[in-house]
Amino acid sequence: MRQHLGRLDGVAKVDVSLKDGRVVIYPKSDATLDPTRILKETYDSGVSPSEMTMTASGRLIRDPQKGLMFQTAAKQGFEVVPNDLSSKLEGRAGNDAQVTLRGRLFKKPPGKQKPNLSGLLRFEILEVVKKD
Amino acid sequence: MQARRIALFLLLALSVAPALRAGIEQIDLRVQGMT
Repeated sequence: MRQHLGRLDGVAKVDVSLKDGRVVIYPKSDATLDPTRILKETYDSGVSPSEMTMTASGRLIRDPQKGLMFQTAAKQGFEVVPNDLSSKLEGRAGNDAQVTLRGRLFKKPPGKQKPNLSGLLRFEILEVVKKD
Repeated sequence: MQARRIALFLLLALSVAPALRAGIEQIDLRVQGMT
């Protein structure tokens, strides 16, 4: 699995802990990781992901259709799932201040069926790591 | 004078750049069935 994920574009390092069932993926500097691709590759390597979280820096913007978005790169943004933390950050949407957030992008639904991974991942904020 | 201004600008830009770097820092996966 380490080799499988390590071959993906933008991946610098993959740490695997068999004991904890935990895999941590670090990007190369100046590279953009694609979480959807990582999730699909994880399935393809024969293991079943139960949860995926991400720590990232970026800006909060307001999209007329999707609402609050967490923009982590020029061409990468995640729709934010409304919760207590997202409502506290609403006021920062649209200004240039950078914020570092940790949040959940994927949680396996109950049951044994493989989840649909073709849709865009939504970001549920779990922690505000750093604010400007 | 001009050279000093450019040097000062570059110094400022380099010191601010890491703090403004956006992007994914890490992705954590919890997995089942890993051997």
